[in-house]
Amino acid sequence: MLVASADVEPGLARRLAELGIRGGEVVTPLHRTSGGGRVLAVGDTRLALARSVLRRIEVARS
Amino acid sequence: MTAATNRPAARAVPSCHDEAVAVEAPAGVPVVALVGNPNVGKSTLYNQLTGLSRDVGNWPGTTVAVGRTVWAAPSVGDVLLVDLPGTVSLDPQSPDEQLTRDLLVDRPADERPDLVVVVVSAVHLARGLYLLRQVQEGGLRAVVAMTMTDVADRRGVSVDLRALATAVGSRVVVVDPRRGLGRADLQDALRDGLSVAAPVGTATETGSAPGDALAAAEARFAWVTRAVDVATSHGPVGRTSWSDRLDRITTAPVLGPVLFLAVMWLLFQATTTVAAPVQAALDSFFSGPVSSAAVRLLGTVGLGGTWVQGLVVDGLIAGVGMLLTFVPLMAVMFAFLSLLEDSGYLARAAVVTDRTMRAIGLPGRAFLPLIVGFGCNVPGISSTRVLPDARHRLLTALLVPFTSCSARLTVYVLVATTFFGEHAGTVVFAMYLVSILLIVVVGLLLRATLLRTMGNDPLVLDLPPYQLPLPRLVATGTWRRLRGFLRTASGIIVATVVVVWALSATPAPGSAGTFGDVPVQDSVYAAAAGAVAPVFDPAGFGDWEATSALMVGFVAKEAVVSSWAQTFATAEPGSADDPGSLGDALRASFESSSRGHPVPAVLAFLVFLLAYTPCVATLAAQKREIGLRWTLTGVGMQLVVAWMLAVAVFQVGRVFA
Repeated sequence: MLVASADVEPGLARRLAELGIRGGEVVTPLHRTSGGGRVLAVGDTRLALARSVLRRIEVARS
Repeated sequence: MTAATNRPAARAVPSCHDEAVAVEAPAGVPVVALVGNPNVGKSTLYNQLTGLSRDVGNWPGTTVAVGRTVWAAPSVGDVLLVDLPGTVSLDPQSPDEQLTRDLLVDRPADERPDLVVVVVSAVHLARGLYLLRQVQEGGLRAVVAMTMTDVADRRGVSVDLRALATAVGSRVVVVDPRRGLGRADLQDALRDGLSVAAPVGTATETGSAPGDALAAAEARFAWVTRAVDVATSHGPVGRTSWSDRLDRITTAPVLGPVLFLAVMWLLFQATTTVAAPVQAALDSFFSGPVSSAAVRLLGTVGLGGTWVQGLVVDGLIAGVGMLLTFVPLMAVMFAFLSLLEDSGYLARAAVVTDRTMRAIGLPGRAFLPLIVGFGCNVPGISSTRVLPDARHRLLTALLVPFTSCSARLTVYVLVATTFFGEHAGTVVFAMYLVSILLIVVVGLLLRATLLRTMGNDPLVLDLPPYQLPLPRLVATGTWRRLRGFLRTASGIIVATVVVVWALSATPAPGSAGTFGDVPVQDSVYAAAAGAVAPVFDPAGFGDWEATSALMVGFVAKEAVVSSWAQTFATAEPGSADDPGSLGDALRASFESSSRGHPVPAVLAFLVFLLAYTPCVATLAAQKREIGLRWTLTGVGMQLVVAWMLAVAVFQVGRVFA
């Protein structure tokens, strides 16, 4: 999936961008986690995100 | 050594607060800073380079730890190596990251490091290069030390070092600090790096308009993407690696928490089956053979039976013995922590416990110190180091003392069996519920008062690749933490035990007896307990017997039962089921101090015992982690909470009893 934008407060948006979740990057959602979040594959890295963050990231199918 | 020869002899490493801690760098010694993202092996590299001589500086309130050591690097000469907190970027999100930024770019040019080693993981190359770019923009000379190339290899990622060095304009060397490889290459890079003139920086402007900062970040990302594209090649790699398959289990909605609880159970088992027997053996070794040998020795030099014998046996040996009984417990705990951290499981545990801990505004990782605290508060406080954010460490370290440790259990069991007979189990269980309740309530109160500024960002956590823990690394990590604990805790623990002995050996004014030869009830110690006792009148246990037990309990909860035994001049009960004459004495004591309401008074006493300061070793550990000021704030808070709760329990209980 192609990240379109992340509608979160600026500090968190910057942190997400630094971790690879920024416009134009490809992310692959993996399995659900305990607590309602998900693991995302961003390149070779794996990130665990809370549901509240995931809900605010807009993606387009690539 | 060229560029560094005319720098000032001493430099100050600034703290986040006003107090500055000076680092003496001998004249002419260049300063090399290690920076890197969290979890890239930066501190492992630091420890590998410097041996085990990590010198940790504590900054009150924030506990940002900066290691700094003069390292005699072969082929380079002396270098002051500074290990900065892990940071994702130089746009700080936490106090740790702020400190890294302060030391690197917000200093006058002549106070900055001469060279920065940016430790970059081959697995997270883009992220590391982003930090490198910021370091370069700050006008600092940088060398890239790349770690985890083995893990990247396994994932089918290979990095062309030459292409990368050209693309980023810094020298790139491969290191494997976990196995001790790449040291010579890094030294060559340092030598060469220190001998060229510093570049003129284009200083990042993060403080300017948000638009500019965003544009700067965009430019950096573009730079990073270009560098990664030319330098890395991906082999055919399956989308789901074994690490992903493992994650599917370890972070799964139901299985994840079950697995986490199993790991925690194992941790408890390790402390009880491995550490506890050694602890007991050490304890009896010090109170038995060591003490009697000292008595014999003092007897032969004519000091037997004098106050000197008391000082040596009941003061020094008892103090050192108490300190050493913590060693097996701490060793097991630290080894377990190293295993969890090194394997990568800790990050998964943090995901699993995240939602529960959010309730009191802490991230998932804070679960671990609190769980450990139920075994023993001392390693619980030390394990707050698994939290990357200093504010979270502070709050957790303040909450750990409210976890009911196993030493308190000995007192619960004696008191509960004495007063509640067959309901003893329920009472003990209730104490654990009160403990959990205290953590939640005090946590919420602290968040609303002293720690209002603490952020509560939602879970965004990098899951580092699983690695097989290396025994050597676990062993050195355990030893380093253990040594650090002994160094800071030994003084406080031994000194407190000696002071308590001295007070109980000094006859109170107006009583018979001489120094070192006076019954406890006639000592200054008992007099002090008597003076404090009225404070506990509203809680129903305002007599000197209960108060002196609590005073001893301040030193160590293990000593409460033996203190009562001494006070009531009876033998310690053989088993918990048979409190014997000590039970009778206790019942009589609480009966009179509560004026006929012993049950609410005993419950109040138990609640007080649960909530007030666990022991001096805890204080020593806290001082190490959060500084003296916060430790004392914590003590005040514990005493106030404990007293108010005890009074509430007694006053309400008296109405219903």
